[in-house]
Formats: sequence, structure tokens, C-alpha cells
Amino acid sequence: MATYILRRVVSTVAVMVMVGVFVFLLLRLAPGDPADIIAGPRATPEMIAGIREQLGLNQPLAIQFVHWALGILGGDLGTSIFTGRPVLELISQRLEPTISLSLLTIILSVTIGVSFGVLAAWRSGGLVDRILTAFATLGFSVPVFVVGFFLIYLFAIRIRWLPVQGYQPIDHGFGPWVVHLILPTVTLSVPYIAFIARIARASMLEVLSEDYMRTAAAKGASAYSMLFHHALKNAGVPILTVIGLSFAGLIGGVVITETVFNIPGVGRLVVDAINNRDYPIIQGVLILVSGLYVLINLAVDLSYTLVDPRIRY
Amino acid sequence: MQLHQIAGNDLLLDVRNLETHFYGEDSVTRALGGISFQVKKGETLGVVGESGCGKSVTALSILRLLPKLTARTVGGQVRFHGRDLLELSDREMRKIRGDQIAMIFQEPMTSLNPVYTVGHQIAEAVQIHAKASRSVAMEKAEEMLRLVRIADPERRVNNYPHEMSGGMRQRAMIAMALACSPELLIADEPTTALDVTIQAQILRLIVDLKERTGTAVMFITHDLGVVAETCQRVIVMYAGQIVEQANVIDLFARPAHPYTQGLMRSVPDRRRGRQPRLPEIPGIVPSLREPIFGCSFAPRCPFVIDICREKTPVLRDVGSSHAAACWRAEEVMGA
Amino acid sequence: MSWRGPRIFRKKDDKTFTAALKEPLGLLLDLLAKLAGPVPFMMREKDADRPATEQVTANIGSGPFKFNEALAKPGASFTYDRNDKYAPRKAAPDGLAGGKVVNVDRVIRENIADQQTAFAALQSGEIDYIESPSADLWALIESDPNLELQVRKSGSVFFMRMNCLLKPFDNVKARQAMLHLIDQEAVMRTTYPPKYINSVTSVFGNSTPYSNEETTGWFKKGGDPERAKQEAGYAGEKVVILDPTDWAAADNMAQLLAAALRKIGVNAELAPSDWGGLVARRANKGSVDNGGWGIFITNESDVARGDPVGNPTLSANGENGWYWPKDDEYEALRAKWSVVESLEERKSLARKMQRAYWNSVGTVLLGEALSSASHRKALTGLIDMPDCTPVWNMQKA
Repeated sequence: MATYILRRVVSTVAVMVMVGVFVFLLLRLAPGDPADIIAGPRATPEMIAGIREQLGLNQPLAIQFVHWALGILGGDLGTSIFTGRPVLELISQRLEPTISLSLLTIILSVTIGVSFGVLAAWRSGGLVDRILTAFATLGFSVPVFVVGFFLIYLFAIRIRWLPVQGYQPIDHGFGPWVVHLILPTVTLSVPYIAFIARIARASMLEVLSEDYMRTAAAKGASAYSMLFHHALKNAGVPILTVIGLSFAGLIGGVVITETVFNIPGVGRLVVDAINNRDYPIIQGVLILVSGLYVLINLAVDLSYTLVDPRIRY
Repeated sequence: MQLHQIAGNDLLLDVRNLETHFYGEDSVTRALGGISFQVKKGETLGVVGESGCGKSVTALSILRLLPKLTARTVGGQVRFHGRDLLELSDREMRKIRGDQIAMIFQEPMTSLNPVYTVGHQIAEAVQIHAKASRSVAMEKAEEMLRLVRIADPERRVNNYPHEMSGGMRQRAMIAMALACSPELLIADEPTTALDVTIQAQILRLIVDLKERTGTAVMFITHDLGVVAETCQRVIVMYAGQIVEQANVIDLFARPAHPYTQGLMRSVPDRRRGRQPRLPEIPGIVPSLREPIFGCSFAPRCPFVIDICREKTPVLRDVGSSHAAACWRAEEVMGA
Repeated sequence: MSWRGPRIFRKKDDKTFTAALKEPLGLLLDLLAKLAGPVPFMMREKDADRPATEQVTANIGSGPFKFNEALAKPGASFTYDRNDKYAPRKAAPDGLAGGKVVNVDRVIRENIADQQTAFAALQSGEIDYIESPSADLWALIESDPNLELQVRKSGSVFFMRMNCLLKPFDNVKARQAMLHLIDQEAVMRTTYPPKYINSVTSVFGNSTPYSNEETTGWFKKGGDPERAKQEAGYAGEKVVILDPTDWAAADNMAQLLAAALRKIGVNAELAPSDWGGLVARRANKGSVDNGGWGIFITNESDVARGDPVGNPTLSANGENGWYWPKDDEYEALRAKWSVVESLEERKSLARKMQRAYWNSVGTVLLGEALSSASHRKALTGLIDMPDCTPVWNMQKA
């Protein structure tokens, strides 16, 4: 176990170095001189020279990379071209909405998705199964923004139960926070619920026909205990895998959802940064997201051992 | 028809005309064709037959553990202490399972849940039925492991199934089944999947525990040798029917059904170890998807006469506590 | 390194300042009162003293409003509170002048990236006002009984720039041919409803005091591909049209333009990119093979066309100017703009400039799209003026 973790940490570092090189080269490989891009169309040659000097663009590429990488290790993600503020500060301002949305989405998707899958497997072939399977297919094929606008139209414009857009920080009260997050969370969760439900159903179906399920029944275990205690944990590894995959890829959905629901999160920050060619922000977010991605993968792999005692690293 | 009614006080399980069907895409398999038998308190009843004859289906029908989508018990009664189990609600049935009637299965390798410790799985039965706390139930689990003679039970309770051998797992299964002191233990081929030496140990264990606890046992096996070693009474099944029923001594002394005779000839002699090849009954078991006219054993029967192919023989007395479903039972016994 | 020139403005007393200039500048008041293009802003002295490369870090407010630093979320929303210490002039509001009376406690500017979301928020009453809803929403806004579409007096002028350094547009004939080719209405209708578009023929736009009819005969004969073909002197050179796919209007127009050019036998090629990519590429003075370009389309406020001195798009000083058209006669006239004293003199100068400009064709105008805002009917007291809507004077029922 310890050697496994060590090996994973080493490979994580290697991956992050590669990500770092790629992200660093992003600005250098973009068309045009970074200083030109930063200075804008009306800049004088002196201004451009000043920016070159300030960014250290006159030094060899390798030196620039080392400076940049050391800066990141010391928590300095650079300065936004557009706003002139430190990138780390801009990102941390935007973290709360994104983390709120992501966490609620994870909670909702996992609970609903797994329950749907379990229920469908339990009543396999029945009406419930067919309805849930239809929903899962639909939920997986309809794009996020379509679901989003549909929900906005229904719940915010027609029956006016929920706000169309915006975000309220949690320290302004739990009520407004959660009310503003209901529609975005449901919207973002739909494909994940569908995906998780499908995998959970397939995995559960396999487990339900196992001999030990009959043993549990012969013991007098209740349906609930059979499904959620005996079967679900056995079906857990594939389910955990898709959950991990889903949430490692959550950032893509977050970008669209934050745009549709006007949530000032990291997704919006990055969209605006791309529109503004604000490379330091794009780089900072890429580094953080890549790091998170690698960490989620590691966490998922390690979580297998909690679910299935036969797996040992 | 059924001639050896057991007096009320001694009677534990009374199965009457039990009929179970399996449903396929476009066919119905009549797995049990209306069988009747009884189990006395504290006795060991052997249920013998080839695979597919309906032994396991009988057990699963009694406990109502058949797969819901593909199988259904369509007729008969399963009276346990006078109550028909087929009439109980799911909730009432759950209270019976594992508490008053327990079951052990053929495959110790797959019948235990791989993601929980054996202690946990034994304790679960205790927690469900005795409403015991977790720690009390775990103590009980350890005690049960000691009872089934697993060495080092303190440590073994925390083992996962994959950390145990097949024999040890079957002992754990037995421990689990007996944890709530059931009145009836259904053992469905509990030794078939084990090595010969382990088989003997497990058999001895079941016999011992039965003596100590007074549990009645329904012992399902295809092996008449096992029956001879463990059972007081035997029923022989063929093609979803009971074809012979007798005390174990009578059965071995004077088998009254040609099928029973055939089975006896194919018994491996344990004392001489495994035989390279068993003498088999020629022919195949009839398909239960098609209606059967006459005696279902007729196509394979050395005693077959015309009536066998036309009229189905019913179980009838051929001696005291001995019944057989054969037109020529008397001649078979004399042969 | 300081970016400041010699000090021109000096404080006289609390309400007066003077300007000391080396030479006469008849345009001074106009320059200070500008609405569009580079606009002068007043700053605190310590902020004005910073080098131009440095960011101003403290946001103060505008007078009638105070900037609420605590609620500021850069890129997402900014909050302005009414400044109770501000004493408005006792005069009716008039554009950006007059009495600036604030009738609401707080104004929040939300940056809602998605127009559809903004519209839904306006419908549900979560916001009261959208500064510039996209054209495809106008019909929906007009059909909602709670909403009002406020069409402003002026809008934005779309125009195309040709690269005068490269063939074929280094030849004035080819540029003139483009005047004949373009059918303004067809171009504008790619994106805007007919009732919100105007043709624009004057270099000085439609709404400025200098708008005039000098040398606009080409317009009446516009949309004539045959004539364009005959007069272009075209020799088969590749024409690269920069196509900003993230800006619907310019994207539509670029595609129409490419189709029209191909129809008259021009080897036109669209170069799709986002707007940022277009901005980076149009700086390239090299040949088409080296990443150069032939045509791009952009727009600016109609009002900005009244300022040939401050607005770089109205320059024609070759490679030193804005994307390189060169017309010495026009430039000589433009140099007099800031010197002449009276409005009438400037108007007559504008006519001369326009005659020169339409001969050398530094730009081809594509038409004007009226700009609009939309608001809930409960929001009243909006000041109607070109280009923007001040947030003072507004009232919410």
C-alpha cells in the first residue's frame, strides 16, 4: 500500500510537470508575441518593450519556464492581464460558487443516480426499470444548456418558484444560497445521474444473480438490506469508477452551467479569460484543474480498497 | 395417496402437492409436478436424485427463494408448524428464513459475500432475528465458528471469505445457518463441491451438530452414499416427482423403484476411493417442458411394460413406511 | 518612465480650471465632452500620476454614485451605491450633462455572459435593464407586455477595411470597385431586422453635426457586381477575409462578402478565428502567404465618426495610421480640424475631407445598426441619448 501510494505520487509529479510544460508553452506558442497580446492594439513600442522586460520574455525559454514553475510552487500564478490582479486572488474569489455547485452536483448525482440504478436493477424488466432506462438515455443525450433553458423556462419564468440566474454566497444565508443553486445543480446533474444510473444498474444486475445474494435472502435479510448492504458494495467498483470519471470531467459542465445561470465561478472566469486572451488566468486554472483531476483519480483508485477487500495495492 | 401420515405433535414440515413452474421466453417448465412429503421434528430426511430432478427447486420453493421473474410456485401448501408458508407476507416469511428454517448451499466459494468478513455475515443473521446488538452478535459469530470447529475463531471472524479455504467457508456457512438455532436446516448438496476428505469432515460435522442441537435436517444430495451415512428417511425424486419414499434401511435393503435401483448401482464405493467410471442409468431425463404420458422413467426403465407408457403410476404403499410410484414395485423389490 | 506630457490643465478655484495651450484648439470643448471613441475621464491626481502601464487600484465612483468595493466581483458584478453627499446641479438632465439626480439606493451591474439568460432574468424581474440585447431577442422583448425595447437615436456603423499595402487593394480602382459591389441593406439584413437598420453614406456617420452628402453618388449605384467586376483591375490575387466567428454580426457579413466576391470571380478565402485572433492577425503587414490579410469587418459608434482627430479609424496616414490607408490630401485637410474655430468652418472642412476620402476609399461603409436597450416597464426615467443610458434619473416603481 505504502509503495503503491509512493509510486502514484511520483507519477503524479511527473504528470504535473508535463502539464506545467504544456501550460507554460500555451502563451509562448500562441500566435504573436505575448507582449503584443498583453499590450493591446494601441500600444506603443516602448510599452511593449516594458512589458517584455517585466515578463522576462528576453530570457531563454528554459529559464523563463523555471522562473514560472518556481513561482507556481510558491503560490504565485502570475497576474491577470485584463484586471491587473493576482491570478490566485481572482481564482479564489471564484472558488466558492464553483465548489458549491460541484459538491451539490456530486451529492445529487451520486444519491439519485445510484438509487435509480439500484431500483431499476431490482425491478429489472419492469415498468420502473423501463422508465428509468428511458430517462437515463434521454438525460445522457440532451445537452446541458437545453436542459438548463428548459428548467429556467419552467421553474423560473412560468411558475416562478426559483430564480433564473445569479449566486448568493452561503454567508448571506443558507436559504438564498440553496435556492439559487437548485436549477444549476439539477441541470448539471442530469447527465451524471443518467450515466451513474446506467452503470449502477448494469453492475447491480450482475451482482443480484450471485449466489451470496441468495444466501442473504435465506438469512432473512430485507430487500433494502439486500440491495444497499449486500449488493451495492459488491457493485461498487464500477460505480466508483464512473463517479470518479464523471467528476474529474465536471469542469466542462461547470463552465456551461455557470454561463447559463450566470454564476460567477471559475468556469465563468475561464470563459471570460479566453475571450480576453488573459493567458495567466487560463494557465492558472489549467494548472489547478489538472492537479484536481490527478488527485481525484488517485482518490478513486485508493477508494477501491475500501469497497472491495480483495483489492490490494 | 400419502399413506404414512405423521402424528400432529411430531410433524414439523408438511408439504402438500407442491407445484412449481419455470417460465422461459416461450415455454413453461414444470419443475415440480405436485409433490407431497413430511419432515418430523429432529429427523434427517434425505432427498435424492440426479441433477434437474427438482431437489433444489423443492428447497427453494419451501423458503420462497426462487427468482421472482422466472419461477413461481403455482399450487400446493408448505405447512410449517401448521402455517402455510406460501400464504405468508414477505415480511412474515423473512422472519422464518434464517431463524426457524435455515439453508446451506452447494457452492461455499460463491455463497459468501466477498466484501464482508465471515464474522459480519454470521452476526447479521443474529442481528436480524435476535435483535442483538452488533457486539453481542459478533460474540455469537465467534462462538458459532468455534462450534463448527474452525481453529482460531477470534482471528477468523475478521477474515474475508477469500482468505479461507473451501472447507472452512462451508463450515462458516453452517455456522451462519445454525446461528439462530433453526428447527429445520435445509442442506443443498453441502459437500458436493469439496474434496473427498473434506466432504467426510463436513458430513460428520453436520451429523454431530444435528445430534447436539436437535435440528431437523433436509439433506439434499445426488449421492446415496451420503444418505446412507446421515439420514433416517429418504425420498427419491425423478423428473419433478417423488418416486420412492422409505426408511433408509428399507430403501437400501429392498429398493422398490427401478430408478432407485439404478442409482444404487451407480454409487461409488467410498472405501475403494474414486472409481474411474460409474455405471450409469442409460437414457436421458425427459424434458419437463413437454407433457409426459405414463411413467416418466419408462423410457429408461428395464422393467417397462405397456401400462407404464399409458398410465402414470402414483405413490403407493409397498411395505410399512415404504412407498413407491411404480406399477411393478413388488416385482422390482423381489428382483 | 512617465507617460505624462506637459501640464495643460490647472486648477483656478474649487469650480474652475484653465487650459494653457501652445496653439489655438477650437475643438477643446468638444474633446472634453466626447461620448465615444477615446473619451477623457477625470481621475484623482495620485491615480493620474501613475505610469500608463500601471493599473489604477482604487475604484472610487463617479460622483452621483460610490463604488462599493466590498461587493465588487471583477468580471461578474459591480455594485454602486448612491452618494448622499453628492449635490446635483439644479438643471434638467440632458445626455451626460445636467442635473444628475439619483433616485435609487443602489445600482448593480451584472455581467451576464449569456444573452438568453439575461433575457430570462429580465422577464422574471431579477434584473431591470439590459444594456444591449442581441438582435435576435428584439422581437421577443417587444412581445412581452412587461418589457420595453428602447431603440436609441443612433447606433453603430459597420465598415470594412481593405489592406492597402497588398494586391489587389493597393490599387484604388479595386477599392472603388468595392463601393460598387456592396449593397448595404443586404449586408445589414444578414443580422438585423430591417426596421432597425439605416444606410450610412457619410464618412462622418448619420448623427454627427458633420454628416453630409458630398460625393455619395457611389451609394446610389451600390450593389452592382457587374460594374465592380469591370472596374476592379483584378488579376486573380487571393483575398483573405478575416472572419470573427465569435461575433455573429461580423461573421455573417464576412460570409456574405466572401460569397459576393466569389460571384464576381474574386479568389476570396475566409479565415475564421475568434475576435482576439483577428486582432492579432490584422497587425500583420506581410503577404497573404505570410499570414497577411485582405479584408476585415468591424464597427464603431456612429457618434465616434464626428471626431476625425481622436478617432483613429478616421485617419488615412498610411502605415502610421489605423490599418494603413494613405491619402495625403485628406490628411492635410484633417490636420486643420483642430485648428478651425467655428462649427460652420468644420462642417465645410468635413465636406472637403469626405470628397477626398471617397476618392481614395480608405473604408467601405456597410450600414448602421440602431442600438437598443431593453428594460422592464416598471423602470422609468431613462435618459435617451446615443450610445449609452445614464443610470441616474432612473426610477423603479
